[in-house]
Amino acid sequence: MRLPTSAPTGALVGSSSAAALFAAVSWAPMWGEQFIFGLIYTLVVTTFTASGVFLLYAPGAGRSGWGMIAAAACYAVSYWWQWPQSWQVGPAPLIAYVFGYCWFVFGGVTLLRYPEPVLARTAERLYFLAAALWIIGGKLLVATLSRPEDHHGSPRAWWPTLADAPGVEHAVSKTVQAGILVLGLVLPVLLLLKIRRTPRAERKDAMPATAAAVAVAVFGSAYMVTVVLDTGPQVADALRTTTGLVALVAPAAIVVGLAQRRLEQATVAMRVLDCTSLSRVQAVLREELGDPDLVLAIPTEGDLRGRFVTFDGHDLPGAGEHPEKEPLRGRDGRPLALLLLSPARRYRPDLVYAAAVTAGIKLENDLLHDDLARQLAEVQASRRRITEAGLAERRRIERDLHDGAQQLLLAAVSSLSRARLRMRRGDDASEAVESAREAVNIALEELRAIARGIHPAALNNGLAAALESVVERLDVPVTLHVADEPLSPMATSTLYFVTCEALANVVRHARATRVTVSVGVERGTATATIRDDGRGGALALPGTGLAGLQDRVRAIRGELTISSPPGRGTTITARIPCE
Amino acid sequence: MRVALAEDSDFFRQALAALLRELDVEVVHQAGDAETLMTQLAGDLPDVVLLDIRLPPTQTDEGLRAAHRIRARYPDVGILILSAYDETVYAELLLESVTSRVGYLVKDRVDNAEGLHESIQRVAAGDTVIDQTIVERLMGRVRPELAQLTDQQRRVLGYMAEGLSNRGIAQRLHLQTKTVEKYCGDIFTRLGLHDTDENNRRVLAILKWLRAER
Repeated sequence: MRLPTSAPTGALVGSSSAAALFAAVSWAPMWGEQFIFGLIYTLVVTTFTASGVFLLYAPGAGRSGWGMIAAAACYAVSYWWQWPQSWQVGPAPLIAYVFGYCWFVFGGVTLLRYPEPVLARTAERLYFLAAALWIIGGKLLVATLSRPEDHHGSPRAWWPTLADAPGVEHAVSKTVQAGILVLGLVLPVLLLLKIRRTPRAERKDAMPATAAAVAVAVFGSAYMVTVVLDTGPQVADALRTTTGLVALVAPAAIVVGLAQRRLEQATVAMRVLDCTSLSRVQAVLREELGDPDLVLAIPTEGDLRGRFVTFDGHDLPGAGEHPEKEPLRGRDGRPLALLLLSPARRYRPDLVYAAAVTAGIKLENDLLHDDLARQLAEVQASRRRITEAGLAERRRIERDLHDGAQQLLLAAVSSLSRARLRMRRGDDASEAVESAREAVNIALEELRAIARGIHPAALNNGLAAALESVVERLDVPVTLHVADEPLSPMATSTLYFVTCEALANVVRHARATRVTVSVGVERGTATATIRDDGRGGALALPGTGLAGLQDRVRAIRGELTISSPPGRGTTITARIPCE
Repeated sequence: MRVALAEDSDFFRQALAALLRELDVEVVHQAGDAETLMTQLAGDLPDVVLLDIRLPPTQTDEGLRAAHRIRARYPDVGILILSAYDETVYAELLLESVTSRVGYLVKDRVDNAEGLHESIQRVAAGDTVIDQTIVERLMGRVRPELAQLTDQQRRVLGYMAEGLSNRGIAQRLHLQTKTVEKYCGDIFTRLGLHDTDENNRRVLAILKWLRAER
């Protein structure tokens, strides 16, 4: 299956010109007497050829195009009998005699196969086989029983005469003609039956061409009646002309039908691309493909081997083995979903293909969009949490400063005021000064602790020294391996805080007996791993210190992984890219 | 002079209590939060309550709310808020809910033992006291009306904002009370304010005028 391509203009113009020239030359002896019908004849030959070339380039129409071209050729030769005797030489009379009526067969096959190229019914196949055999075989038989002169040929023409038996020949000829008449009358019936079983959606495509074919068959049959009954040249000529005129409708109908199909493919594509949800995509596909049971099956895993669900998440058992399915693919050909069609139904493959391709693109776009939207939301949420954490941190620092150092310094000022008061009075002020000194010292200690929380002074001497001073104060034995590699200030402080928080968690929750901390740089990534032998079960639930660490690490495009199986210790790993 | 202290920082409260005792102020109650203070007040009323504005449990403006309750229950007890914030808004809120015998000092005032002592005495005597750092900051803002005042007038305005009475201002500036009254009249005309006899109302009006954006 491929999407339609336009018939190349060169091929169209070339073949049409050739057909027109051929017809004009074929009509050469008759132009003087039958100018108008000559025009019709030329037009029929040309348009049949052109529509055949059109069909050759229409996807799925396949050999139908050749059928139409063959019909054009047969129609062209069917009037050679009018040639003057001097032209009736060589194989021309025989060709004209044998193949003349065959344009009914080829044209009929083409129109019956249109728009779907497969002849669905055995009866139809048999009909055309029988028609071809009857016409060609019957005519050949008549030819063997006659001489070329009996059929407008010159005596010098090639002719397979076996016996000159005018009596038998006449009877056989009438029988053949009557047979052709019957065949001609059956064709409209077949066409109408075909229309009846064509799915409603396709009926409008098939209708113009079928109507043309029915009309041609009816007028052609009427013409045959005049031939069988020998009603005279006036009626026969009139009917021939009418049949020719009616035949002109067929190629137009085919071209119109083709255009209609292209329009429908485009409509499916546009409507699918316009959809705003998967449920809408499915509804549109159901409408456009005329299948109310059509289902869009979405794989839960990346490929088509796993489970499938509907667009609203319901399980679809056996979707992978569905008998009538069309994969929806992304631009790289990766299958994204399946279109499950009703097996009993007949589909226009070109429409299904157009639907599948656009639904694939749609799905891929939506998936991409969903992916991006999710990532963006994650980034925004994480940024918000970092901002909030920053604000909370500032509030905490302000409170620490206010409740601690500030009150202590005020106490010191107060004590110093008292000391001054006592000294002015000549009293001993040493106790008041001592109180002030004590308060100032405690305030200093508090300020140091706060400053350490903001930017640990120890970090100025490198991560190893900073972590050593942290580890020294813990009750749990910690083995520290810190690679001696220069890191950016951001990476250094992030790894420091990750390690501190992880160690604080170990002390608070893990009941560990041993902790190992290793920090290293490998292939442009700085990694800190904190592993303990405690009770495990740590989770980065929202609002916890671990979740805060995750945000902090992700904010500088790193990642934090937590492995904490219950009872088997906890390993926290932070990886940070070093630019 | 008897005072009660409500302050949640033990260090500062003890240092302040020691300083007050040195000033012959008797510290009859010490509390770390407003509820404890209210219980203590029920037993024995001091002349003045010194209240930290930021007290447990909310650590926000618990002191202001306690001031309101104290005044509602014990109208004669003076209230002096000690705040780590030199925020005019808090001072105004205080003056709006407690209309006399009230003061708002920033804690830094402990630097000046005598000044603190005087403030406590003024509150006990029924005056309104506003910390001079707040007034100085407000007066420091560029305002055309202020620029039109003479230096002496500006000085008088500052003292009025701090809550001094006309007589108090006269003593500070070694002037006759009558002269101060004349200055007050001129200043109020300049600022478009109405003079009022009530000290608290006068302070509040000046603070609002100083703080208003124009």
